[in-house]
Amino acid sequence: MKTFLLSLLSASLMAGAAHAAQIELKAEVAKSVLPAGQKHLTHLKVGLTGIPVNQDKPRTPVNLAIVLDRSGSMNGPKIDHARSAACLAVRSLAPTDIVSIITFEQGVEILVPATKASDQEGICRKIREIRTAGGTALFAGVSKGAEEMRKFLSKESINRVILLSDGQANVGPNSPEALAELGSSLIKEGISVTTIGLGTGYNEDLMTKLAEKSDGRHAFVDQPDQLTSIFADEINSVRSVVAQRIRIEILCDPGVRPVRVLGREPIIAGQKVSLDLNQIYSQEEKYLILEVEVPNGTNGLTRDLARVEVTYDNLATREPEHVNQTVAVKFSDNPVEVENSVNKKVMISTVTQIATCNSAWAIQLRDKGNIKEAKQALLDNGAYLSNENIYLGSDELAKLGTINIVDGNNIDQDWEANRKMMKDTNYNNSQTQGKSVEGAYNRRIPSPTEKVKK
Amino acid sequence: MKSSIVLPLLLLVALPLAGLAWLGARMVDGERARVREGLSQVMEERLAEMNNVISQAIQATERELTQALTITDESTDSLREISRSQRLIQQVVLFAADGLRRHPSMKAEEQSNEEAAFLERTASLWQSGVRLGSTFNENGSSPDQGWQAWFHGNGPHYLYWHRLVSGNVLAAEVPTASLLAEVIAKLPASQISDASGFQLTDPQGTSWYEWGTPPTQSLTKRAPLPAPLSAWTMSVQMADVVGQSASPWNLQLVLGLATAAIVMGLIAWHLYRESSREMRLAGQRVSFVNQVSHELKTPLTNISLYAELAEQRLPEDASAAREYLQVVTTESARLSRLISNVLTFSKHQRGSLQPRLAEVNLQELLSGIVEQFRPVLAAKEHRLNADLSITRTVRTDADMVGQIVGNLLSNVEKYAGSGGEVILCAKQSPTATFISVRDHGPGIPPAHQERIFEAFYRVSDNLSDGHSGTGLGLSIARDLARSLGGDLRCETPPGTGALFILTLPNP
Repeated sequence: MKTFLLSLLSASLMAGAAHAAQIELKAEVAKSVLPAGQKHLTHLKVGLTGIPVNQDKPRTPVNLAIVLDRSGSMNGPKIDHARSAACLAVRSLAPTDIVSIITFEQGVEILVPATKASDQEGICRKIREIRTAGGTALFAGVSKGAEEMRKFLSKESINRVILLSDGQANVGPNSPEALAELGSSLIKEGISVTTIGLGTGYNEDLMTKLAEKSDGRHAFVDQPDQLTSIFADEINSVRSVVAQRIRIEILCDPGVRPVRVLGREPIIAGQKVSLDLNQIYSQEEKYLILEVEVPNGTNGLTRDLARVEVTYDNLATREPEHVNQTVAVKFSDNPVEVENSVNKKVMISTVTQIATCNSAWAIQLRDKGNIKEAKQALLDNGAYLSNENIYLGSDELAKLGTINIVDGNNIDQDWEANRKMMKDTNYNNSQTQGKSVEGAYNRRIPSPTEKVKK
Repeated sequence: MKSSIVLPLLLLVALPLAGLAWLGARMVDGERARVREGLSQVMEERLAEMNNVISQAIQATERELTQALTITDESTDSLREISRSQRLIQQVVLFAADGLRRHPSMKAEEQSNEEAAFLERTASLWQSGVRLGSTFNENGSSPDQGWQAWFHGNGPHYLYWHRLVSGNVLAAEVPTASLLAEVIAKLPASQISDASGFQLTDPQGTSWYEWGTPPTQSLTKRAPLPAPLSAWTMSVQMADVVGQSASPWNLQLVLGLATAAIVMGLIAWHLYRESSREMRLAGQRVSFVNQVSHELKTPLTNISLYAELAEQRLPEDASAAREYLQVVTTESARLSRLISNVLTFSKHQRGSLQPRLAEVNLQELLSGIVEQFRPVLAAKEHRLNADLSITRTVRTDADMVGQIVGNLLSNVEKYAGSGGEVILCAKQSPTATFISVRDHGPGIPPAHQERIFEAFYRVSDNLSDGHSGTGLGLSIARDLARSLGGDLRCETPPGTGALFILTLPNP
């Protein structure tokens, strides 16, 4: 009897734990009421937000590889700040965390093989000995970094490569495709690569692709003295991971056709859309916008649009968890009802993704040398965003509009730096909700106080 | 005279030195070749060692892939799960035993976006008629897994296939970058102890990974990677020890040669000193003979003079005494010739044979000589006939011509046996004067006709032949003839005997 009660108790506790999901799943349509009697294209947003982290809980172990470019071009303040930033990252680790330091130039040096971060001063001493020389063997550097991590690879730890480079990968493959293959391979092992591009000499296509395919983050840093804050930010984000190995599956109802996904590259097989993410951060929304074609329905009909299932590893309980939601739409002859059903948040996300696609298209035009067309595309994009802002009333869209206009007006000057800034903005916009727009805006339009400082 | 010994001595030193230098260079070359060969062997071993590492990385990859591809559930979901979760696998394709594709579906609408892209990437491979798993081993059995490479876009791509229990063949597309990342992960990092540099390059020659530090002056060796990366190359660079040690080797060689040169130079110097000492001694001897000859000349002249005076003062009936005095005169003349010959020879040797030219009446000169020799030749029962038809005087040295003809006649006396006719004949053409001496003795074999003019040469050295002589006569005669601008030849006349012809120029 006693054991029965105990097991009952534990069962209820477990149920409680299951309810306290690490991820909040929100699957919503841009319009939950569609005009009756016609086929419709609408957007389904699947958003995943990590719950606030409980600071009292034991920290999730981290397996970190810092892969540093020490090519000749890093000489001077770049390597100085890179060393301090790497040191800071090491010092912010717990003694039980795993760290490895890899440097690359013409070849690759394993400065600190994967080890417990207990002797942080010893590791920092080694970091301070890093000297610059030679080429940029980026691919081999990441390969070696991943190999070091594999020595302690675990589902229960957060596996992260921080790659810092300032130059073109001139030893080893240098195509975004090859690095995409590497990224796709690493994410399946639970390894994400955060890429930090320093200065204006690196290949942003390659760096964003590697980050995108491995679900890492990307940052463009134009001043070496910003490295420390970027590394600190990265460590904080690693600390704020709440869930790993996320699998999103959207199963569209028969008749509903998945058309495309904006901003991401999931697998679309028939009615099923699948996307794998490596992690969800606390209080940060990752989402995807799926464009679907809905067949016509009669007035008053409610039908299921899709069922969204998300499975992930809860990092707090170290158990796999599962959340799901079914999205439905209603058909109506009443335009007011249709209008009132508009979900502005979904619309904002959708517009953000469309604008991001437009910006990417403008970069392609500029790459081909069509400066005028590229400029026009960005100005048009800015106009599109301010238009949508009038209707949706979003500060984020307004700022994004301004960003596009600034980018458009700057397109014929300092392209190396501007392209990296645009790539950075586009990448972050496609990865998370909202957060990055503010930073991107401030970068382009310095606040009055900053202007005074200059 | 000196240069004639210096040149051979120089050659004596230079030739062996050159030979030694050549041999030394050959030896150094041989040594270098051996060192290079050793180095090349070391490099090959290093390449083999690294290739072994790569082989192991590939085998580990193969095991992982085989395990990932060993499935029994051949449903689409199960297959899609493989490419979604296996780190080395980007896509899978399933073929039935009959070669028909089961997955991705033949129907385009059932394929996922990634499967469609995969089929596009691999289109060229399937069009080439490749059937996975249809190859055979050497022993005739069919392997259960293997690699298939193909080119698409700008690089090589790789498929790894595995035969399922059902007999179907399941293949995985292994991205090149993932495969190489596996290989690179297992290869050494840059910090390797010895001074060698390695490089891994793809079929287009792009370097994918470099480790070690290539030395500045180095030799390179290449080897293909193990299958399936056989189109890739690994190269190793190692310090060219031969190139670096080139100078010490040369120094050794140069030192050796210098020592040899010094030793041989000393030997040559010694030989030179010895030879010049002997030359000096010989010179002293010659000058001694010369002086003695000069000293002999004066008493001899007195002997001849007083012998002639005594002959003139003899009463008519003292025929025996007259005969004795004639012998004294003749022998004095012979001795005088001998002394002139010696003096002439030594003059010639010193290079101071200078004719004193004057207008000479040869008719008179030759007649005198004939009269002088007539008694001597008569004693050997030779009949001396002179046929002298000289009309003009000749600008020449009378003493020298007399010496030449005297030597020729003296030779007749010595070598032409006895009882033959001796003809002294003189003729003049507009440009030259010819004086010939012909005897009817045994003659001179043609083989010796030139050599008899060499100093101290004698046709027969046999002393028992009873011929006396110094072996200088003809040599001096020819030297004198030539110093007069003419020549002296020996010819074979018709019949027996010898014929010497002296040619003198008519200016």
